[in-house]
Amino acid sequence: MRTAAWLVVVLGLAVGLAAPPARADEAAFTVTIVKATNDGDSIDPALEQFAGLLKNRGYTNFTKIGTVAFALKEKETRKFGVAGNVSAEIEYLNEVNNRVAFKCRVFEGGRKALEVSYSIPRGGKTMVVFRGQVAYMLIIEIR
Amino acid sequence: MDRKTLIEIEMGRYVDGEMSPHERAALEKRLAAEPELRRLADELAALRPRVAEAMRAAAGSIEGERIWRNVAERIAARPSALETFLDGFRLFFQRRVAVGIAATAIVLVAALLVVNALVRHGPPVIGTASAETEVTIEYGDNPDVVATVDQDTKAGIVIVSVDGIDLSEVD
Repeated sequence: MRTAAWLVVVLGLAVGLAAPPARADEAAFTVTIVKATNDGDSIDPALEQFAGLLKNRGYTNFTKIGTVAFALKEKETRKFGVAGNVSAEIEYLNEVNNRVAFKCRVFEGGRKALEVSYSIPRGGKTMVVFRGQVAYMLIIEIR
Repeated sequence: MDRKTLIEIEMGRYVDGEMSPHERAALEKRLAAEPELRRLADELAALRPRVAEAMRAAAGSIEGERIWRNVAERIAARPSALETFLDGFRLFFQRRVAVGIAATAIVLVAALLVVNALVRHGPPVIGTASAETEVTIEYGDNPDVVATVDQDTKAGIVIVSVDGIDLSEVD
Protein backbone atom coordinates (compact mmCIF):
# COMPACT_ATOMS: atom_id res chain seq x y z
CA MET A 1 0.00 0.00 0.00
CA ARG A 2 2.81 2.34 0.92
CA THR A 3 4.71 1.40 -2.21
CA ALA A 4 1.64 2.11 -4.35
CA ALA A 5 1.28 5.57 -2.81
CA TRP A 6 4.92 6.39 -3.56
CA LEU A 7 4.39 5.13 -7.12
CA VAL A 8 1.49 7.51 -7.61
CA VAL A 9 3.55 10.44 -6.32
CA VAL A 10 6.51 9.60 -8.55
CA LEU A 11 4.28 9.13 -11.60
CA GLY A 12 2.59 12.42 -10.88
CA LEU A 13 5.92 14.24 -10.68
CA ALA A 14 7.10 12.58 -13.89
CA VAL A 15 4.01 13.65 -15.80
CA GLY A 16 4.36 17.13 -14.37
CA LEU A 17 8.00 17.46 -15.47
CA ALA A 18 7.28 16.10 -18.95
CA ALA A 19 4.47 18.63 -19.66
CA PRO A 20 5.02 21.73 -17.57
CA PRO A 21 2.02 24.01 -17.56
CA ALA A 22 2.45 26.83 -20.01
CA ARG A 23 2.95 30.21 -18.45
CA ALA A 24 -0.06 32.40 -18.99
CA ASP A 25 2.04 35.45 -19.72
CA GLU A 26 4.21 33.76 -22.32
CA ALA A 27 3.75 32.11 -25.69
CA ALA A 28 6.22 30.18 -27.81
CA PHE A 29 6.22 30.76 -31.57
CA THR A 30 7.89 28.74 -34.25
CA VAL A 31 7.87 30.33 -37.68
CA THR A 32 8.90 28.19 -40.63
CA ILE A 33 9.71 30.20 -43.75
CA VAL A 34 9.08 28.42 -47.04
CA LYS A 35 9.90 29.46 -50.59
CA ALA A 36 7.47 28.14 -53.19
CA THR A 37 7.92 28.13 -56.95
CA ASN A 38 6.76 26.18 -59.97
CA ASP A 39 10.30 25.21 -60.95
CA GLY A 40 10.22 21.48 -60.32
CA ASP A 41 7.96 19.33 -58.27
CA SER A 42 9.34 18.54 -54.90
CA ILE A 43 8.96 19.23 -51.25
CA ASP A 44 11.94 19.85 -49.04
CA PRO A 45 12.23 16.85 -46.68
CA ALA A 46 12.45 19.35 -43.83
CA LEU A 47 8.91 20.34 -44.71
CA GLU A 48 7.53 16.83 -44.77
CA GLN A 49 5.34 17.48 -41.72
CA PHE A 50 3.68 20.34 -43.63
CA ALA A 51 3.27 18.49 -46.95
CA GLY A 52 -0.50 18.31 -46.69
CA LEU A 53 -0.63 21.98 -45.95
CA LEU A 54 1.57 23.05 -48.84
CA LYS A 55 -0.08 21.07 -51.61
CA ASN A 56 -2.72 22.64 -53.83
CA ARG A 57 -1.57 26.20 -53.13
CA GLY A 58 -0.74 26.88 -56.78
CA TYR A 59 2.93 25.97 -56.43
CA THR A 60 4.79 22.70 -57.00
CA ASN A 61 8.22 23.19 -55.47
CA PHE A 62 8.80 23.98 -51.82
CA THR A 63 12.05 24.80 -50.08
CA LYS A 64 12.55 25.54 -46.44
CA ILE A 65 14.33 28.85 -46.06
CA GLY A 66 14.63 28.74 -42.31
CA THR A 67 12.98 28.51 -38.94
CA VAL A 68 12.65 31.19 -36.32
CA ALA A 69 11.65 30.08 -32.83
CA PHE A 70 11.14 32.37 -29.89
CA ALA A 71 9.08 32.83 -26.76
CA LEU A 72 7.42 36.13 -26.04
CA LYS A 73 5.96 37.65 -22.95
CA GLU A 74 2.86 39.80 -23.26
CA LYS A 75 3.44 42.88 -25.42
CA GLU A 76 6.83 41.62 -26.55
CA THR A 77 7.67 41.52 -30.27
CA ARG A 78 10.17 39.69 -32.44
CA LYS A 79 11.08 40.78 -35.94
CA PHE A 80 12.60 38.56 -38.63
CA GLY A 81 13.38 38.75 -42.34
CA VAL A 82 11.25 36.99 -44.94
CA ALA A 83 12.69 37.81 -48.37
CA GLY A 84 14.15 40.81 -50.16
CA ASN A 85 13.32 43.86 -48.11
CA VAL A 86 10.25 42.20 -46.65
CA SER A 87 10.27 41.45 -42.95
CA ALA A 88 7.67 40.35 -40.44
CA GLU A 89 7.12 40.92 -36.77
CA ILE A 90 5.11 38.98 -34.23
CA GLU A 91 3.73 40.60 -31.11
CA TYR A 92 2.22 38.44 -28.39
CA LEU A 93 -0.74 40.24 -26.86
CA ASN A 94 -2.25 37.93 -24.24
CA GLU A 95 -3.99 34.65 -23.62
CA VAL A 96 -7.66 34.38 -22.80
CA ASN A 97 -9.39 31.01 -22.28
CA ASN A 98 -6.44 29.13 -23.75
CA ARG A 99 -6.55 31.27 -26.87
CA VAL A 100 -3.39 33.10 -27.77
CA ALA A 101 -3.86 36.56 -29.22
CA PHE A 102 -1.03 37.92 -31.29
CA LYS A 103 -0.31 40.17 -34.24
CA CYS A 104 1.76 39.46 -37.29
CA ARG A 105 2.93 42.62 -39.03
CA VAL A 106 4.51 42.64 -42.46
CA PHE A 107 6.89 45.39 -43.53
CA GLU A 108 8.22 46.44 -46.91
CA GLY A 109 11.38 48.27 -46.03
CA GLY A 110 10.31 50.54 -43.22
CA ARG A 111 6.66 50.71 -44.25
CA LYS A 112 4.00 48.57 -42.69
CA ALA A 113 2.14 46.75 -45.47
CA LEU A 114 -0.18 44.57 -43.44
CA GLU A 115 -1.16 43.68 -39.91
CA VAL A 116 -2.96 40.43 -39.16
CA SER A 117 -4.45 39.93 -35.70
CA TYR A 118 -5.00 36.36 -34.57
CA SER A 119 -6.70 34.58 -31.74
CA ILE A 120 -5.68 30.92 -31.92
CA PRO A 121 -5.92 28.09 -29.39
CA ARG A 122 -2.56 27.33 -27.83
CA GLY A 123 -1.05 24.41 -29.78
CA GLY A 124 -2.58 25.57 -33.07
CA LYS A 125 -0.95 26.97 -36.17
CA THR A 126 -1.67 29.28 -39.07
CA MET A 127 -0.07 30.26 -42.35
CA VAL A 128 0.59 33.49 -44.23
CA VAL A 129 1.28 33.20 -47.96
CA PHE A 130 2.90 36.06 -49.87
CA ARG A 131 1.90 35.30 -53.43
CA GLY A 132 3.83 36.16 -56.57
CA GLN A 133 5.76 34.38 -59.28
CA VAL A 134 7.78 33.13 -56.35
CA ALA A 135 5.84 32.78 -53.13
CA TYR A 136 6.98 32.88 -49.54
CA MET A 137 5.03 31.21 -46.79
CA LEU A 138 5.16 31.67 -43.06
CA ILE A 139 3.90 28.69 -41.08
CA ILE A 140 3.36 29.97 -37.55
CA GLU A 141 2.99 27.44 -34.74
CA ILE A 142 1.94 28.57 -31.28
CA ARG A 143 2.70 26.66 -28.10
CA MET B 1 -55.70 143.39 -49.49
CA ASP B 2 -58.83 145.50 -50.19
CA ARG B 3 -61.23 146.88 -47.63
CA LYS B 4 -63.95 144.33 -48.31
CA THR B 5 -61.60 141.44 -47.68
CA LEU B 6 -60.38 143.10 -44.49
CA ILE B 7 -63.95 143.53 -43.33
CA GLU B 8 -64.77 139.89 -44.11
CA ILE B 9 -61.73 138.75 -42.13
CA GLU B 10 -62.65 140.97 -39.22
CA MET B 11 -66.24 139.79 -39.36
CA GLY B 12 -65.03 136.19 -39.48
CA ARG B 13 -62.94 136.75 -36.35
CA TYR B 14 -66.02 138.34 -34.69
CA VAL B 15 -68.31 135.46 -35.60
CA ASP B 16 -65.71 132.89 -34.54
CA GLY B 17 -65.25 134.67 -31.18
CA GLU B 18 -61.57 135.28 -31.86
CA MET B 19 -61.63 139.03 -31.03
CA SER B 20 -60.48 140.58 -27.83
CA PRO B 21 -63.20 142.21 -25.71
CA HIS B 22 -61.98 145.63 -26.74
CA GLU B 23 -62.03 144.78 -30.47
CA ARG B 24 -65.39 143.13 -30.05
CA ALA B 25 -66.86 146.22 -28.29
CA ALA B 26 -65.53 148.52 -31.01
CA LEU B 27 -66.93 146.33 -33.80
CA GLU B 28 -70.35 145.98 -32.14
CA LYS B 29 -70.49 149.74 -31.88
CA ARG B 30 -69.89 149.92 -35.64
CA LEU B 31 -72.46 147.20 -36.33
CA ALA B 32 -75.05 149.16 -34.46
CA ALA B 33 -74.26 152.21 -36.54
CA GLU B 34 -73.92 150.49 -39.94
CA PRO B 35 -76.88 148.22 -40.93
CA GLU B 36 -75.04 146.96 -44.03
CA LEU B 37 -72.21 145.73 -41.85
CA ARG B 38 -74.75 144.19 -39.44
CA ARG B 39 -76.33 142.25 -42.32
CA LEU B 40 -72.93 140.91 -43.43
CA ALA B 41 -72.15 139.80 -39.90
CA ASP B 42 -75.49 138.00 -39.63
CA GLU B 43 -74.93 136.25 -42.97
CA LEU B 44 -71.46 135.15 -41.88
CA ALA B 45 -72.78 133.95 -38.56
CA ALA B 46 -75.47 131.94 -40.37
CA LEU B 47 -72.93 130.46 -42.80
CA ARG B 48 -70.26 129.68 -40.27
CA PRO B 49 -71.71 126.41 -38.82
CA ARG B 50 -72.43 125.06 -42.27
CA VAL B 51 -68.92 125.96 -43.49
CA ALA B 52 -67.37 124.32 -40.43
CA GLU B 53 -69.52 121.24 -40.92
CA ALA B 54 -68.60 121.11 -44.60
CA MET B 55 -64.93 121.49 -43.68
CA ARG B 56 -65.18 118.77 -41.07
CA ALA B 57 -66.92 116.53 -43.57
CA ALA B 58 -64.30 117.31 -46.18
CA ALA B 59 -61.51 116.71 -43.69
CA GLY B 60 -63.15 113.50 -42.58
CA SER B 61 -63.61 112.44 -46.11
CA ILE B 62 -59.98 113.20 -46.93
CA GLU B 63 -58.74 111.39 -43.81
CA GLY B 64 -61.06 108.47 -44.44
CA GLU B 65 -59.98 108.29 -47.99
CA ARG B 66 -56.34 108.32 -46.89
CA ILE B 67 -57.01 105.55 -44.36
CA TRP B 68 -58.89 103.44 -46.84
CA ARG B 69 -56.21 103.98 -49.43
CA ASN B 70 -53.65 102.80 -46.85
CA VAL B 71 -55.73 99.76 -46.05
CA ALA B 72 -56.23 99.00 -49.71
CA GLU B 73 -52.54 99.36 -50.37
CA ARG B 74 -51.71 97.06 -47.48
CA ILE B 75 -54.26 94.54 -48.63
CA ALA B 76 -52.87 94.74 -52.12
CA ALA B 77 -49.32 94.38 -50.82
CA ARG B 78 -50.22 91.51 -48.53
CA PRO B 79 -49.93 88.09 -50.20
CA SER B 80 -53.00 85.97 -50.36
CA ALA B 81 -53.31 82.75 -48.39
CA LEU B 82 -52.62 80.81 -51.58
CA GLU B 83 -49.58 82.93 -52.32
CA THR B 84 -48.38 82.48 -48.72
CA PHE B 85 -48.86 78.73 -49.03
CA LEU B 86 -47.08 78.66 -52.37
CA ASP B 87 -44.22 80.78 -50.99
CA GLY B 88 -43.92 78.44 -48.03
CA PHE B 89 -44.02 75.43 -50.30
CA ARG B 90 -41.40 76.96 -52.59
CA LEU B 91 -39.14 77.72 -49.59
CA PHE B 92 -39.70 74.24 -48.16
CA PHE B 93 -39.03 72.66 -51.54
CA GLN B 94 -35.92 74.75 -52.07
CA ARG B 95 -34.63 73.76 -48.64
CA ARG B 96 -35.49 70.11 -49.24
CA VAL B 97 -33.76 70.23 -52.61
CA ALA B 98 -30.69 71.79 -50.99
CA VAL B 99 -30.69 69.19 -48.21
CA GLY B 100 -31.28 66.44 -50.76
CA ILE B 101 -28.39 67.63 -52.92
CA ALA B 102 -26.11 67.83 -49.87
CA ALA B 103 -27.17 64.36 -48.67
CA THR B 104 -26.70 62.91 -52.16
CA ALA B 105 -23.26 64.46 -52.36
CA ILE B 106 -22.31 62.98 -48.97
CA VAL B 107 -23.61 59.55 -49.96
CA LEU B 108 -21.76 59.70 -53.28
CA VAL B 109 -18.51 60.71 -51.58
CA ALA B 110 -18.92 57.92 -49.01
CA ALA B 111 -19.71 55.43 -51.79
CA LEU B 112 -16.65 56.57 -53.74
CA LEU B 113 -14.48 56.13 -50.66
CA VAL B 114 -15.88 52.64 -50.06
CA VAL B 115 -15.46 51.66 -53.74
CA ASN B 116 -11.95 53.10 -53.70
CA ALA B 117 -11.12 51.11 -50.58
CA LEU B 118 -12.59 47.95 -52.10
CA VAL B 119 -10.75 48.45 -55.38
CA ARG B 120 -7.52 49.06 -53.50
CA HIS B 121 -7.79 46.39 -50.89
CA GLY B 122 -10.67 44.10 -51.66
CA PRO B 123 -13.43 43.53 -49.17
CA PRO B 124 -12.34 43.95 -45.55
CA VAL B 125 -11.55 40.65 -43.88
CA ILE B 126 -12.68 40.90 -40.33
CA GLY B 127 -14.20 38.43 -37.96
CA THR B 128 -14.16 34.77 -37.26
CA ALA B 129 -12.19 32.85 -39.86
CA SER B 130 -13.02 29.50 -38.30
CA ALA B 131 -14.53 28.15 -35.14
CA GLU B 132 -11.02 27.95 -33.74
CA THR B 133 -9.24 30.95 -35.17
CA GLU B 134 -10.19 34.59 -35.37
CA VAL B 135 -8.38 36.76 -37.87
CA THR B 136 -8.51 40.50 -38.46
CA ILE B 137 -6.69 42.20 -41.32
CA GLU B 138 -5.50 45.79 -41.29
CA TYR B 139 -3.78 47.30 -44.27
CA GLY B 140 -0.75 49.50 -44.12
CA ASP B 141 0.76 52.05 -46.48
CA ASN B 142 0.94 50.00 -49.68
CA PRO B 143 -2.33 50.43 -51.60
CA ASP B 144 -1.53 47.44 -53.84
CA VAL B 145 -1.65 44.97 -50.98
CA VAL B 146 -4.72 42.73 -50.94
CA ALA B 147 -5.24 39.95 -48.40
CA THR B 148 -7.76 37.13 -48.36
CA VAL B 149 -8.52 34.65 -45.63
CA ASP B 150 -9.15 30.97 -46.41
CA GLN B 151 -9.70 27.98 -44.22
CA ASP B 152 -8.00 24.68 -44.96
CA THR B 153 -10.57 22.40 -43.38
CA LYS B 154 -8.46 19.31 -44.01
CA ALA B 155 -5.43 20.78 -42.26
CA GLY B 156 -7.67 22.61 -39.83
CA ILE B 157 -5.93 25.95 -40.12
CA VAL B 158 -6.61 29.42 -41.40
CA ILE B 159 -4.46 30.74 -44.25
CA VAL B 160 -3.99 34.42 -45.04
CA SER B 161 -2.98 34.95 -48.67
CA VAL B 162 -1.36 38.27 -49.51
CA ASP B 163 -0.90 39.80 -52.97
CA GLY B 164 0.85 43.00 -53.92
CA ILE B 165 3.98 42.74 -51.79
CA ASP B 166 7.27 42.98 -53.64
CA LEU B 167 9.27 39.94 -52.61
CA SER B 168 11.99 40.21 -55.22
CA GLU B 169 15.33 39.19 -53.82
CA VAL B 170 17.89 41.94 -53.39
CA ASP B 171 21.18 40.87 -54.95
